[in-house]
Amino acid sequence: MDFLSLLDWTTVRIGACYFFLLLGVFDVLVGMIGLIRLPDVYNRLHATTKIATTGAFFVLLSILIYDGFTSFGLKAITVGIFLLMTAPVAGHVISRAAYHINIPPCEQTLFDSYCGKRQGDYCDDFDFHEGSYVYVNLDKKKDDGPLDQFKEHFSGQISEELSGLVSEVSEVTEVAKAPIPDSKNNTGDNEELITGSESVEKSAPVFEQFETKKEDVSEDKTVLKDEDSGDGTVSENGNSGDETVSGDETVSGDEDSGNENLRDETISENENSGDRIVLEETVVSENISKDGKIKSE
Amino acid sequence: MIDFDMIAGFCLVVLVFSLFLAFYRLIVGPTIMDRVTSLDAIGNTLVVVFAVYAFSQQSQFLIDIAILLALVSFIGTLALSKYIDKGEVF
Repeated sequence: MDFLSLLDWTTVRIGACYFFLLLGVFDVLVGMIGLIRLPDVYNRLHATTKIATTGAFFVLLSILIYDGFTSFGLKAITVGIFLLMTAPVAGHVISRAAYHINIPPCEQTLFDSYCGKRQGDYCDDFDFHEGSYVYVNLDKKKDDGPLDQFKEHFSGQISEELSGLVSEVSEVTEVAKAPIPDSKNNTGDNEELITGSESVEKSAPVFEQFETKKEDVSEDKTVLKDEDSGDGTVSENGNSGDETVSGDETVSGDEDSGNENLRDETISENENSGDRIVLEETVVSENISKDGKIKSE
Repeated sequence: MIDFDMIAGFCLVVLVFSLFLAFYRLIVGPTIMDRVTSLDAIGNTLVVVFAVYAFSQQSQFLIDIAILLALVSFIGTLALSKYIDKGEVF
């Protein structure tokens, strides 16, 4: 009770006033740093709407706390509530205008939820990364838990079955394609199942790059690099792909990091299926050689 | 001992520094919506500057300027965005 008697009401009031004042100014500073540092219009809006909603509101709330319900404090909290209502509206209008004039999101963007499309279908009026669309497979994201067990089970089985085989490439690819029952997610699953023993175990969502209007079918090497650049970002879950030990990186080599022009080159899925086999061969052979169970001969 | 004038002065210095950061984005910003975002942020920060200054001076009349700036900043942001989006304001 002595502690409570020491705390005068004016002391508490002035302390809360200073606390909210410094907190509001800190929020303004953080929002401005976000405006400088973040990579994108949409991310910058995410930072700068906090200037109005928390920064200005806390500063004006501190004026109300200091002065009480005088005319000064009431004017201050009126401005605060006005900003609290209008700043989200301004932010939405700015981002809507930025979307409608086709300002592209940054490269780390996974899913365009305003477009509202899933994997496989894309917006016609929005030019994503100069023509290549990156989306998350939503069905895969729901089934996180059972999919992990599935992957662990089948990756072990594949490596056991492969230990008895000779290194003929055609047989290896057939066995590797055999135990995968899920045929509708045909592109992303195979690689993750095969390389699941070596790559990161957490199941990151699978992104794919879809084709665009201009159909420039390039060579096989560029196809491999294009797919590998997608998978490197997947298995690493946001980090750069240099740290992974998986066989995809050794296939693609050092060249896939610097090529942004490869995103423009487009592959349709039917023509892609012939190239997938080549990729899987190399991946499986890499796995065997790293495990040391088979001496490749 | 920290008195009230020191805290208000410190807050004003930090706010002016953050205004310079916003002016950097206003000049350098690659797209036009970056500039509109920066103008919105500058307007809201000026509201905070006038609020802190009115708080330090304990005058009611400076905070009327804050009310006016909040209104004008919001309507200006809305008009700029709708003009860039649709080519007309109304």
